[in-house]
Formats: sequence, C-alpha cells, structure tokens
Amino acid sequence: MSTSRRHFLKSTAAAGLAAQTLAAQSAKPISASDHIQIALIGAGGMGSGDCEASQKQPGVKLVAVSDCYDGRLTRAKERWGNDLFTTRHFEEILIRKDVDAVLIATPDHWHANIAVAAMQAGKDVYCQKPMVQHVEDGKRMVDAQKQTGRIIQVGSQRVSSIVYQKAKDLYEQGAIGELNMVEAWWDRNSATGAWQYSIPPDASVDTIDWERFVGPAPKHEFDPKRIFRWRNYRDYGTGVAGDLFVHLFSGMHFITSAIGPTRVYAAGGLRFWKDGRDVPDVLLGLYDYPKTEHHPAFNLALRVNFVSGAGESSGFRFVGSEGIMTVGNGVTISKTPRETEPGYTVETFPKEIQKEFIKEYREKYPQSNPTADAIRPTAEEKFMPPHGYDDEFDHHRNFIAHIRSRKPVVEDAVFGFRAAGPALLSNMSFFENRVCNWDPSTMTLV
Amino acid sequence: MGSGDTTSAVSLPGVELAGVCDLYTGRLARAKERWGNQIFTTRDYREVLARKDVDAVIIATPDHWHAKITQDALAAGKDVYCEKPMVQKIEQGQAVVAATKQHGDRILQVGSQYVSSLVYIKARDLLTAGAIGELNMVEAYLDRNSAIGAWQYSIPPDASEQTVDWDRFLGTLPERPFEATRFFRWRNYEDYGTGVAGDLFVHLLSGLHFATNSLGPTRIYATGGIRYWHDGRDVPDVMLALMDYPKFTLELRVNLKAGLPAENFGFRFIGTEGVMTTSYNSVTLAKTPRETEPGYTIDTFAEAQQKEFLRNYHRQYPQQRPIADTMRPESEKSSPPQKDSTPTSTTTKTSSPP
Repeated sequence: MSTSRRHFLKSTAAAGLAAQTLAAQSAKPISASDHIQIALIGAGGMGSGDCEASQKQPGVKLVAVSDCYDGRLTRAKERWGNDLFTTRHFEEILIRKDVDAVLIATPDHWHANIAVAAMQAGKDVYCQKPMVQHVEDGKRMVDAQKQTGRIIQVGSQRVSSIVYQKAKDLYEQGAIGELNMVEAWWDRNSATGAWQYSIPPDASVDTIDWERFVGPAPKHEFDPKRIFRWRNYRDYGTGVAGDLFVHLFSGMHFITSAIGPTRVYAAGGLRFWKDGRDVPDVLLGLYDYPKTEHHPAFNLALRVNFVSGAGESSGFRFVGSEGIMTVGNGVTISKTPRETEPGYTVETFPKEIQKEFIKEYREKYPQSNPTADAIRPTAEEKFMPPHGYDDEFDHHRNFIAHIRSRKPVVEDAVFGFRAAGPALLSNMSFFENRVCNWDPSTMTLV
Repeated sequence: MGSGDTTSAVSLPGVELAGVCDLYTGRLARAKERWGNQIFTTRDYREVLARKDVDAVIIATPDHWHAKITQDALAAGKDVYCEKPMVQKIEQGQAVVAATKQHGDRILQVGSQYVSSLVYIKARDLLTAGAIGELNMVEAYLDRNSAIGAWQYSIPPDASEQTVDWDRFLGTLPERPFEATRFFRWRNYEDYGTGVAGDLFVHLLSGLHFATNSLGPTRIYATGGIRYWHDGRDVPDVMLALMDYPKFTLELRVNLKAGLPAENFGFRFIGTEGVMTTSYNSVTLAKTPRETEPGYTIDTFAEAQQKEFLRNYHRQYPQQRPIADTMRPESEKSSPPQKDSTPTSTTTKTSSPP
C-alpha cells in the first residue's frame, strides 16, 4: 500500500469528519470502573517508556502499536502480548473504535500531523515533547484541542513531579526573595546521551517503511542512521533545544508561572560528535522574561553540553534577592538575609572626614548587639522526594485521571507550545545567526 | 583602586611615590596622611606629567578619562599602569594602541591582575598540557551580594563644589549640575563608567584570554537588567553574555544581587576529558576519561535482534575487567603558596575507579 503524504492527508481528512460526531459523543467523564484503552504510535525508547508508565495505571489497557520499523512491532508483541494489533500505519489505529487515547512518541516531524489527526478522530492524546517541530504548527495544535475538546497532554513529566510542585510552593512562599535570574542546564558525556542510539542488525528497506518515516520531511535516500538516530538531523528532530531545553522551559514555567520570554538568543557549535549530524552538541541560550503578575523581570540562561568533561548532570538555579533555590533530584534552598546596613568605603577620605562619616553612619545604623534570635541556619535546607519516586508515572497518572474527569490538564497544548516555542526559537537564533523576538501571550514571532 | 595600586607599587623595592592627583581635595589630604607630607599633590594631572622626577604613572581615574590621560602620559615620556578597562569607548582603543607604538620605548600595562597571577599561569599550563582534553566551553562568573559590591561607595560629608573639581571630572562631557553621587559612585553611570561589563567582564576576559591564548570572540550577545539596585543608576546589575570564540563558547555572568553570602568569582573550563575550575586562589582539576565503548539502546528491538546485536557489539568491544591503572583523580586542587608558610604550592588528590 502506498504511504505517500497524499494518502496520509486523504485518510486523515476522512477520519476528521467521522471524528466530529465521535468527539461530541465521547467527551464525557469515564467512570473509574471502565477500562481506558490506549495505543502507542512510535514504539522507540520514549514510546516504550511511556507505554510502561501508562500501563501501570489502574484500568489502562494497551490494544495497539504502530511503528515504521517491523522489529519494534515484533518487540511490542513480545513485551505486551500477542493479541496486540500492530501496524506500520497510524491511521489504522485512529479509525479503531476500541482506542480511547494514543501515546504519540514518533520523531518530532510527525508530532503535529498525528496529534491533530488523533484529536479529530476523537482520541485523547499524550504527545512527546517538543509538541511541534516548527513554530508554525503550534497554533494548529492549540486550535485542534479547542475545536475537538479532547484532552492533550505534552510529555514533559516534570510538570507532574512532586519535586517541581515543592519548588513551586517554596518559590511562591518567597523562599528566595525577589527572583532575578534562572540558570538551567543538562550536561551529558556519553555516546548514547549524545543520541548515538543502537541500529538493529536487520535495518533495511524491507524491515523499515522509509517513505512513511520521511513523511512530511524532505525526500532522502534510505539511511538507517537517519531513522534510528533521528534526533541528530534537523529534518526529523529539533536538536538539543527541542529535546532538552524544552524540558527546562516546561519545568521553569511550571515553577514560576512564567509564560515565556520576549527575546531569545542562542550560541554554540558542533564540537565533538562529528558523526554526520547537522545540529550542535554544545548550545547555550539567553532569554528575557518581562515582569508579569506572577514574577518580576528576570533573565534565563540555558545550557546543554554533550561533551561535558565535568560529568553528567541536570538542574536549575533560581537566584533571588534573599537566596538561591536549586532544583535537581530534590529542592535545595540556601538563604542569605539582606544586609542590615550597607557598609562603607572611607579609607581614601582624610582621617577627620572618616570620623565624621562614621559618626553619621552610626547614627543612621546604630551598632546592634547581636542576639541569639538573629542567628540563622547557615546550612542549606534540602527537600527530597521519597526513595524510588517516579515523575513519569505521575505524569501518566495525571493523563489518565484527566481522561476520566475531562477536566483541563496543566501541560495542555498552550503550555506545550509556550515551552516548545522558545526552544524552537533557540534553533532559529543559532542557525540564522540572529536574535529572535517572541510574544509569549499570543505565541507568535515578533 | 588607585590607592590599592599605589600601596602595592610602593611595597616593591626601589619604588617611591612622588605625586598624587585627584579631583576631591580630601583624597589629596589623605594621600599626605598615608604617604607623607613630602609628596606633590594637585587637581591637574598635567602638572604630574610635566614633572621630571616622575618615571611612571598609575592611572586609576573613572573610565571616561583613561584614554586621554594614558595618551598624554605616553607622550610625556612616562610609563603607564592603567586601570581596566583600558578605554571607555571602543573607538578609543586603536588610538591608545597607536600611542604605545608611537612611543615604543614606553611601557603600558593594563590593570587586570589575573594576567600576572600564579593561578592563571597554572591554569594556562594545565590547558596547554591537555589536562581537560579539548576545550569546548567556558563559564566565567562574578557574583556579589552587597551594597558596596554593587558600587554604593561612601560619599564624604564634605563633598561639595568647593572640595570637588566637578568641571574637570566632567571633562568633555556636557555640563550638568554638581551631584556627589555621580562623582563618588561613577561606576553606576554610563557617562563615566562602563557598568559591570567594563568593571568585571573585562577581568574575566583578560583571565580567559591569558589562560587560553585567545585573541577574542567573533560574535557577542548580552542581556540583563536593573533588578535590585534601583538607586538612580543607568547600568544593569544583572548581565549575561554569550560569546563565540573560534573553538569554544563563552558564557559570562555578573549578578550584583546573587543571593549568596560572599562574593563568588571564577571560571569553569569544560573539555572533552575533564573540567578545570579556577577561583581567586586555586585551580581544581577533575578528569573524566572518555568512554572506552559507546554502550547500546536495544530494548525496543525484537529479542532475536538484540542477541545478534550483542554478539556483534562484544566482538567489536571485548568485555574488559577494569584495572587499577584506569583510575583517574576525581579532583586535584592546586593553590599558590600562602603568606607566612612554606613556599610550595599545595596539591590534593583523590582517586576513584572508572
């Protein structure tokens, strides 16, 4: 069967029509006793992880899996049972009446088309980050969510993490005073961390639906690296910005209630992993966040280094007028109370003038005798989640809970686009050698 | 800065202070209190340059006077120690460089002391020796959290138009009424200073260029804002910059309200095989050897394919038992000799298995 783009467009249009009636019917709460049947579209590393986390939720059953590589369909049956429906064509999943929700974990260049088609077909959607590969696709997703009334949750699990909820609570309680800067980073130092994923020995045009993989991307001859290591290519992925900056944006936006920067600049380069990839392995970005009702104006600095001789780590530093909040596996607060007096620099004044200055200074700032009450803990205050805590599980629990309740999710299409937008603008800034301006409230380029 | 520079200079053998020039008379009085009544003092720097008993001058005026006085001093046959930044405006740079060429027998040294620091010589040696492999990124930072750190310097009670030569301070700038804050806290104003970039980025850039033998970046972007010190200043108190060097990316950060108990200054040099961190008085090296094998991600392949993959993989990367020789120092810290102690640098090392 032909898998050309035209075929895809035709079949999704038909699915869309059928969906509108279906959407109206099924946008009702699903009781806890009813099973929710899910399907996986894109059964690679992330998709398989999502699928495991989803199936751990009570009342969730996996019924179908789609992938462009046959080996992954075989593997899905090995893992999740022979009775699974498997296909190379996601459209065959969207037309199934026994599928309530789909997990979309394809390469980035397929996200928007499949997610919109799925919502139009009446499915709820869990879509991997970044929500879209191109800024122009964001509005299409937001509109589809509105028009169909389906649940869409984007897959930055930090938004459901109790660690980030704790950080949000502490931030809102004023734990670090007035925020002025955020730094966030994700350093890696390994081949698999740098997306050199394994290529199966049987990879070939016989086992892989290459045309279907390429889909909306520019035509290219078969190359197993481009499908199994798709993050390395701008045709299919979004580089470190779309893979990792987007997580940092999601986490930071959740904690501060920020909606996005107005100005974006990124710099970096391909320093080490020169394996044919066309995206940088070191990328740094600077972002201007203007004052809103939720936070003062501040600057964000992001960093991803895939050649980090400093070792692998990821985290955030929120810097405020009265302390620093570090977010990683847990949350750490270190407080520094403001100075009680400004101090002086008088040693270049004549002795007589120094005396006069200090006399006036002491009238204004009387020498206080420290009391025991004035002693503050110097140690950091550290909050850790329970041992074995899994935010991925919580993110899927939220997704399933909202499928049942039909209440809006936190990380919906608007939230997802507000994280993906500045990540994609980072790429635009880097590749086009320019500063990008963004309106985070309307989610448009300026 | 000028008094600090002078104290350092006169502590060297054979160096004598002959004269002091300042626009606030209190500083001239203070100079005599500190360094003796015999020294010549004046409000007019040209009177210092005209003196035959002066071999060299320390220029520690506000930034907007650096270029002019440096050029006049070189022309008057003086050697020059000029505080950083060497110039206030980019257009002044070529002229100062030309003046040093024109007066080729004169010495000009700019006052970023890291270029003479044992710590940065050690850092340069380690980088050159490949201690962290190939450099790909540098972070440099200076965080402060105090009023004085944010340039809220003291204003003497007798500050007035009588004690301060306001017109000479303004120099070629447009006239404006006397304002003690603008004179004593000149770093807060673009008219006289250069903000955190000229005061602090310039130190970080000097140290970086010295340690990496770099000439400079080809592309520069900076952002920030006035976040806390809303005292009438017109320069940012938080500033971040990204700069493209031919082989690495530099990130610079200065935050004058950094939520920290003490000033934090330093560099992180990131390489393919380690990280080197420098501070005022130490260099710390932590090494991470490159992977000996790439690893694999095969759990989404069919079982038969996984087996075949692993057979091929282990043919290519035979399984090895780690040996003691592969252990690398987790971190190695070097510090220059401390005052009043034995003149050897200290080194500490801890090793851990791969």
